[in-house]
Order: sequence, then C-alpha cells, then structure tokens
Amino acid sequence: MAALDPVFAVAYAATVASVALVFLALALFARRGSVSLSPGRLVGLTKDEASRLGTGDAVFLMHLSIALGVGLSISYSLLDPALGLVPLLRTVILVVSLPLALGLVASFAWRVERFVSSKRVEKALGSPASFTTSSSYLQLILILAIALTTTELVLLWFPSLALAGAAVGVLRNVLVAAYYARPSVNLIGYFDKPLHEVRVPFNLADVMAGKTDPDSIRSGVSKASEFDAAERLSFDSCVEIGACEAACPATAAGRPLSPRVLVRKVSLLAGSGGPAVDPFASVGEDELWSCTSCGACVASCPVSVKHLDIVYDLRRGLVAQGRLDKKKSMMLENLAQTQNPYGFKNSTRAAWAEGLGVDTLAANPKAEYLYWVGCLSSFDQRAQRIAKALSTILKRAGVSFAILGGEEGCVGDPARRLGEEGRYQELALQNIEKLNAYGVKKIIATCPHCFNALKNEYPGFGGKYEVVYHTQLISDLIRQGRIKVPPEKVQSISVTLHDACYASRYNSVFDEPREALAASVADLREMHRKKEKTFCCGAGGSNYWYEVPQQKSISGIRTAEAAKTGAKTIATECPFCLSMLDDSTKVMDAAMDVRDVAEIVAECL
Amino acid sequence: MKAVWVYSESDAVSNEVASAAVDVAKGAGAEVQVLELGAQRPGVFASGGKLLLKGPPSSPTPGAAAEAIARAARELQPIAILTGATRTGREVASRLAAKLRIGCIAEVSKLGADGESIFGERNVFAGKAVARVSCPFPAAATVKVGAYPRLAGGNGGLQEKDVGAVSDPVKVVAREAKSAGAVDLKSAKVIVSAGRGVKKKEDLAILEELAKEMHGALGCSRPLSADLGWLPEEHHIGLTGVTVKPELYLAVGISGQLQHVAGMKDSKVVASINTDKDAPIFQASDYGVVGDLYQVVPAIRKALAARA
Repeated sequence: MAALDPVFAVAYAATVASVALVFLALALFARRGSVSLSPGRLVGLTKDEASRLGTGDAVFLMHLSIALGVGLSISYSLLDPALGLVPLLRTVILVVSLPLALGLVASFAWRVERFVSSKRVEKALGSPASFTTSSSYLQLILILAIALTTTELVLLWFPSLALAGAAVGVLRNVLVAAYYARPSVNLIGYFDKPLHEVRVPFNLADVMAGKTDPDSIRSGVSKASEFDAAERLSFDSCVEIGACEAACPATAAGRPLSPRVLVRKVSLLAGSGGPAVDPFASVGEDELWSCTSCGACVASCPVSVKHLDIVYDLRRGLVAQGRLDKKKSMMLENLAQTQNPYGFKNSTRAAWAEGLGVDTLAANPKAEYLYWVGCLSSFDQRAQRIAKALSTILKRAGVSFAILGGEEGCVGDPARRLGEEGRYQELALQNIEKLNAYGVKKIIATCPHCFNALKNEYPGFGGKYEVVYHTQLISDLIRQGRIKVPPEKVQSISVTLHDACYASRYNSVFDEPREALAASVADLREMHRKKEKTFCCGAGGSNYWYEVPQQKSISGIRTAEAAKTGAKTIATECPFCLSMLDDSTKVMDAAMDVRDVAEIVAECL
Repeated sequence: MKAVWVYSESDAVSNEVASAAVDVAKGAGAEVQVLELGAQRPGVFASGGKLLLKGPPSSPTPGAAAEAIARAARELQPIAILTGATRTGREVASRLAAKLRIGCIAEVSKLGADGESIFGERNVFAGKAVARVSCPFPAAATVKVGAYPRLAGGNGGLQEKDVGAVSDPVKVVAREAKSAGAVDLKSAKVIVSAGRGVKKKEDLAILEELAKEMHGALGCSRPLSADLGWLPEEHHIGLTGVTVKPELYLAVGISGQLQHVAGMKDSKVVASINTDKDAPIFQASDYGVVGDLYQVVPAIRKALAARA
C-alpha cells in the first residue's frame, strides 16, 4: 500500500477506528455483565477451544473458522502497512486463511440450511410474526457477517482490491461490535461453567439455621425483571446460531419447545417490557415441561448460552405459583411421603436383594463402598436386574460393599429438575445426614441422575464423597484383572451403546462403558450420536413422570438410530434409558433387546 | 314430630338413602320425610311422608338444592338431613352443613341414632380399617352408595312447603353426554389391560369382549395409547396415565415396567398372562399364566361362557 496515498490513509484510519469499536464494545459488555477479560480467562478459553479441536465437532469447527477468520482479517488489516516490509508474514497469513475460508463457506451453507429449518420450527410452534421477523433479522446479520468475512479473506489474495477489502472489513467490524461483542464476553465469562452446575436460589440449611430470612427467598422467576445479570447476559448473547435447536431432542420430537426460540423470547421480553412482564404470557407451560434437561443445547452453543438456567428458573416460577398438573404434584407428594417418586413403601426398597447376601450398611458399617441403588432399580422389577448384576460383579471381584436398604431416599434429582428446589434440598439434607452418620467415604451409583447429584451437587450441601459410576468401577475391575471374562464366555452378539446424558455429557464418563463392553462382546458398534454428543432417551428432567404433546417420541428416534447400526442389543447404563428404549423396541416391534452394561458383563462371568 | 329428611338427585339413590333414614329414624324416635324439589317425583318412595319444596327448579343445581332445603330446615327443624354420597349429594350435604352450621358425617353406612346423635361407619386408610363416626343432632350425612337396599313403596301423605324462588349463580349452559367410548377405569371393579403382547389393533376386540363379559373395563399400557394410538389416552394405566385399584386386574401381554405397575399396584387381585416367564409383571401378580394370550384369552372366554 502506498502509505501516503490519502484514500488509503482514510481507509486505514476507518479500519483502526472500527477495530477500536470492537474492543470498546467488548469492554462495555464485560463491565455491564461483570465479566473479567483478564489474560488468564483468555488463555483458559484458548486452551479449552484447542482441546476441542480433536472432537471433530462440525459446529465447533465452524465457530472456530468464523472466530479465527475474523481475527486473521483484523490482524491483516492492522498490519497492512507493515506487510510490504515483511513479505513472508503476508504469505503465512494467506496460507492460514485458506482452511479458514473453507470453514467459513461451510458455515455459510450450514447457516442458510438452519435459517430454512428455523422457519419451519417457528411455524410448527406458531410463533407470532413479530418474533419471526426479529429472528430472521438476527439470522441474516449472522449470514451477512459470515459472507463478509469470507469475502475479506478471499480479497486478501488480490492486493489491487485492497480498498474493497478494507470497506468489507470495516462493515464487518461494525457488525461484530454491535452484535457479537456481547456473545464473545459471555463466552469468555462462562465457557468453563460445568454443565452440571445448577443455580441455587437459596440454601435450605441456612434458612433452617436462621441465617437466611425466609421472606427474602425467591425461588425462580415469575417476572421477566427477576432474571439476574448473568442470566441476562446469557440470553441476550443469543445471536440465533441455531446449534441448540439442531441438537434438541424436544424439537426433534415435535414438542412445543425450541431452545433457540425460548432463549430469544425471554431476551425480547426482558428487553421490551417494564419490570413486571409476565414471562408465562409468551412462554408456554408445556414449552418448559418439554425440556428433558439433556444439556445438548448448552453443550452445543458456541457462545456459552445457558438455556437450562432459564428453563429451571421458569419452572421454579411455575412451581411457586402452584401451576403443576396432577402427575407432577403427585410425584412431589410421593417424594415427601414415601421418599421415592412412585409412592412405594420405602421399607421395601431392598426386596431385590433378598437371598443375594447383600448387606445393609447397618449390618456391615465397615464396607468399603456404599452401593446407592436409586429408586428405579429398587422398585422397577426390570431395573432390579441391574442391581442384581452389579452385586454379582462386585461379589465376584471381592469388592466390599453394602446398601442403605430402607434408609435410602430419593436423591432428589426429579424434584430439582422439576423446579421444586426446596423439596430437593430437603431430600439431599436428609440423605447427607444419614451418609455422614455412617461415615460413608466411597459410593457406587447405577443411575446417572443419582451419580450426578451425589458427585457434583451434594458437596455444596455438606456431603463430600468419592463417587464412582458403575461402568467406571466395572472397567477398572476388568483392567485390574479382578474380574475376568474367559474367551469362551465373550458373547457373540452385536451391541451398540446408548450413552446416558448425565453420565456422558454431564460427567464425561463414556470410555469406561465401552471398555467394559469391548471385553464382553464380540461386536461393538457405534451410533452417529455418541459419547458427549449422545441423544436423550426422553426421560430426563423429570419427563419420566409426565407427558407433553409431541409428534413422535424421543425414545423412538433414538431406538431407530440404534436399529440403524444393525446391532441386536442396545446396551444402556441408566435404568431410565433402559425403560424408555425397551418400550420403544416393543412399539417398533424391533428384534432388539435392551440391557444394562452391568447385566451384559455379569452374564460373561 | 322429629323428622329425618332424605334428598337425592337420583330416584334410585333416594330410595337407598330412605332405607338408611329408616334406621336413623327408628333410633331417634323420628319419622322419615323424603324431599321432592320443584316438582313431584313418582319414582321416589318414602316410608313416612313426602315433603315437596316449592320454589326451586325441578332439577336444581347442588347450590340451589342446598339453599331450598336450608330455608325449609330453618323453619321445620329436622334432626338430620341425609343425601347419597354421589358427586351432587356430597356437595349438597356440605353446603347444607355450612349454611345451617351443623356437622356432617360423610360416606357412611350402617347408620343409626340414639336420642342425641347420628352415627355410622366409614372406611378409612384405603379400606384397611373401619371408623365409627357420630355427630350430635341436628346433622347432615352422606350415605355410601350401594350400601342399602332400595326402599320400595310406602308413600305416606304429601306435605308442601313454599320456600320462595331460589336462584343459583351457577347456570347450566349445556349438557353433553359422555362419548360412547369413554371409560371410567377409576370406578371399574374389574379391569382387563392390554400390553404390547397384543400384535395388532384389531386384536384388541377380543380383550374388549372379555372385559365386557367380566363386567369390567379395558385399560392398556403406555405404548398402546401414547405411542401406537390404538386406544385413547384415557385407557392408559400407569405412572403418566390413570391410577386404578380394581378388585381384579388382568394384565394381558404387559411386561410390567414400573411405568405401568405404578398405576395398578394397589389393585386387590392381580392376574397376568405373558409369554415370557421372566416378565417383571409376574412379580407384581397374585396369579400368572405363562402362555400366549391368543390361546389363553379364548380359553378364559370359553370357561366364562360355560359358567354363565
């Protein structure tokens, strides 16, 4: 560039100004959302994104192409006057721009496809025209930003078109400052917030101890103004990327929910009305009940929007207003009266263990592990076989363990996911009191919902234990040679593993069940959606206890995916998944059986 | 003369309640009067006399019926007012108790009285125990339906009493008959329930027939209603469907997941038919047949026909 050419000087000044605008916007949103843009956070984010490169996740790679494409073109435009002096640097930038441009083209195509399907979803949901217009606008801005960045990267190759490139860059930078600075801040602030972290509106123990004034407690949101700054930053950061909608099992089943539409509706509502806007005027009750809390939306969001926070806070709002149908209130009542969500006599919890020589902790307080059975494996005659199988394995391996029997109470997950935080904490505190009284140190769980609560949630209420998932322990026992599958006992069946959301996506347990299966069966096949990208069975988020309107069943979609592998057995690792998929194979008349990993391994011993 | 009043919106129930009233009147040394509201009802019998209350419409809403009876009661001072424990009867009795500031014993059978109070028995703890309850006169009571024989004949004299026009803020806007296919699983004494062992929708007919022959209703597990749509949602028994506790529950081709068992676990007697001897349903059953429902069900029907 002829540095003294006044036209180029003006173009460069505009470029610098537009870049400054981007940083100004970043600083502004960071301050408003109380997010730190410290080098530490940025390094952390970079490491996190680098670690996800290997997953080969398409949405993530597109997000990376866009982010790096913007970064590269900004760098190029700022360095432009110096590049004539360092021709090698220019070559390097040009070479690097190639894969990014490819990623951007892919992003463009994907985004156009999402646009079309988003309009289909909105039509099915009956979204009002005002919403559709606003959504289309944001999506077109996104498509435009991608197109501009792609164009800019291409123009880098043609120095004669540098002026045009600068103009494109300035326009794109203005768009970034206006629309994408806030999501960037949200990403920097919350990329490492674990999926299992639930916002806790109050601490029941503090209330009971008189440390918190009960009148100051507000559980959930009944007015749009009640969302706090972090939640507001989260939902205002939605730029209609649409990855959540593509991943959501509720949307796929034709339920009245799209995580994208929900988040945007809440954002528009909180931004528009006065302080008392009723969220339930635009968010439907079944819309909120449609969520299975599988976490696919949050995990897939490239800018770290936390959809589940919003779902839980609004569900809590419904609970606070008593807007629960009979099925949901009955489940909560059962939890209060019988310590299990089905209304069975809790004293019959250990009926499955009769004659198996399984001790209760009361009889054997020195046992190394407590086996936390969970309600479904205690009371469901089918799921009891999981408990029996695990007991067989543990006994064979010589692991010292005991159960709580009638002293075990529901872990509380169904109440918490339904939005009844008080009932959840009540159950958690009761359980923790018992566990601590027995001096429990190590716990095994066969239900991922119990596992997640015990491992990640109970520490916050004073229950700190070493919690291991049964598939982890089984694979350890195999690796250590404490249980052995003799070659002639390896089952010559074809198996595909359905990962449970709360084990895989929530807690990164997905290699261990595969190791256990690899040792036990001859033919292990994979579904397309697997490990942390698994697809829900439809029972999570308390959905097991009620029905919502839908076009097809979530479990049916998943069972069809399993059938497509040609496997004759679906291996599960969660009693709820087992129940849902087992029903679906019957509905579809599929010649497949559904068994827990523990059952399959136990049969080989 | 002290009087025990009887009112029911249904002639049949009114005649049952009148039988109960005879026992109460005997104990208290009173006479029975059966109430007619708005118009005479030839199908209603009374051992003593009838009392026609003029003013309310001939088929009043529960609110209007309670108001008319309360007005008459304030003047004529009956010692007890008995209604049937039907949906309407319960509402009339509880409104009367509130209006007249008197006590009410609910859902009672084996009624009686002494000089000062009325008493009766009612089931408590889901039928596991019987409580004897009493209430000093004047009192209201709802009488368990089906606990007494219907009184026939014995119409004494007819008295009339004008209570003035009675209006009720509740207006009946329309009456609609239940659709022909509607089932009332909650009150069915026998339930035949179909599961995925039934191969196709048409085959439900034999179970429907069986249910009819056993004077019961047809239910189903979740897959049949929610997923396959073979039966309307109201047939769905289970955790996310209806909860039932019939005298006899016959599970046909149901594997017995908790989703289903949670909805029928309180049934008195459970029998099941399943081809899989390891089906979980057998653990929730008192009787079980391991066999093909397409052979077992026709055999049961044949045996029932032979007995009839």
